[in-house]
Amino acid sequence: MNNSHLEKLADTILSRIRRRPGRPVSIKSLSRSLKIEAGEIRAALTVLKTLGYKIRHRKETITFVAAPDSLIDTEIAYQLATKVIGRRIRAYRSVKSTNDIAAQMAQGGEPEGTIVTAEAQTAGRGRLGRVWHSPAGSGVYVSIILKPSFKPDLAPGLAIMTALALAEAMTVFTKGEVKIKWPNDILIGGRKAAGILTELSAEKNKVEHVIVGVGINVNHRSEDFPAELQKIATSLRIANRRKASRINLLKQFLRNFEKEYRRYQKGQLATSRKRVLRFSSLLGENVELRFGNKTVSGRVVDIDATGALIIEKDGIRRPVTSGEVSVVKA
Amino acid sequence: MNEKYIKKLIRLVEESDIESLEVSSWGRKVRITQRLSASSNGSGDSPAVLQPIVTATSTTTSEPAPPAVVPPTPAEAPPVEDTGRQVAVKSPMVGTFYAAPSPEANPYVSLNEKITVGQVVCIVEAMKLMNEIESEVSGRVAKILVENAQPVEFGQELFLIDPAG
Repeated sequence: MNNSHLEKLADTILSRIRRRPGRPVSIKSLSRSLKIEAGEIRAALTVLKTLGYKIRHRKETITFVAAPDSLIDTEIAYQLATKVIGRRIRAYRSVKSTNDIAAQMAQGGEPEGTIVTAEAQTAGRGRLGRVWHSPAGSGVYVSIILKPSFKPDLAPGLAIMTALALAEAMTVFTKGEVKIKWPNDILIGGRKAAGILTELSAEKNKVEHVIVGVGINVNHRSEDFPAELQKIATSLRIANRRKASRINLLKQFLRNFEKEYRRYQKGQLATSRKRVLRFSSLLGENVELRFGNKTVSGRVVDIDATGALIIEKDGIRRPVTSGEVSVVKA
Repeated sequence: MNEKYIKKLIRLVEESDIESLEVSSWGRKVRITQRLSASSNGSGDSPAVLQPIVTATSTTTSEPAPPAVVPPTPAEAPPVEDTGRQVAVKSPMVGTFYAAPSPEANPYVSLNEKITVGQVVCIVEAMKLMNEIESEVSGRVAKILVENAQPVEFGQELFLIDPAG
């Protein structure tokens, strides 16, 4: 909600009535304290109901019942309690790609921490332009604008940092086994439940901006995925056998992200590495990494402070930063 | 061939790992040799010491000898070809080079293509972070130095752009 007088009014009324959920608020007193007509209150209530707020409306009173599980800016901002991340919110119903919008905004001088969210993406991208499936109202799609002062070579580790913030947030909402598949996928029970796409804009040795894009499968049903994805994709709803709150998950993630980002700027993953390892689906596994026509194989023994995967073969350890990982079954 | 010049030659030899250098100029010849006396894989009791030995001889011929060329030190090795006017696009990080935005798409740029400043010429990826690399100059793509999906190092040259085009 933004701009128009009516929407501002709706925001004000909302903040008044939601202070005491379930308790009726007198329309008369509201109109008196806000210096508005009862008719305006009614109009504002219509706006709120259209947005999905459950409000009981009697002749003399209105009662806040529940907020919608929608990614609208008012709901994201409500008790978010972050300092930088999500300080400014641009919430869309449906966009081609939140990353593209965020990148444009970043280029236009948008400050660090601004987020772009969407209920659905029509051209959500995975790596190298692969399409990420995102039907309306079931997922969380968010892109975060970062403008760090570190050099471009430290930017890749942000993917791992984000994966940690996301995995820990998702753990709050499921009893399923949440894992990080290095470097940018989150699995529940071995199936992909979320993906991260980080994009960097740098000039010479300076980061202009980084866009961290996240797509989470929250309330997808199995049949929401195309047939070829049903065996490899999952959602919190499929794992839990009931719906999860998208808005609360998003807010949890944003809070975690802010904390991890602060740590990362001080010493990359130095203090978070152990938690990353605990979530890692690849630790101890024999893997094969393909990039181009090259293959590297070995056992995953560590993830270092830059986020690189440490592979051991014949007693020699080497860091790996690229490649398509596959687990080799012994 | 004055003292200053000879001292300069000695320094050149000292700084390099060549064993001897002979320079003749206008009928005078100087040879500087050094013993690369110790090796680091030896017993380890003495560090490598370079001892330049200077032997100067005067030749009696009146015929002026052509000035010799002082071999350059490895650090000053000239480029294989004339790239003086070309500008390199370098990788800002360790990662994998991608010539196109997706496997099915056309490359961002091709050889001899005219490009403008700020144009995206490739992606360098690490940990799935896509870094779109832009050219800092306008010009012609004179050379593509890496192949698609090839690992690249920090600072590695990816393209040579000829600003004169």
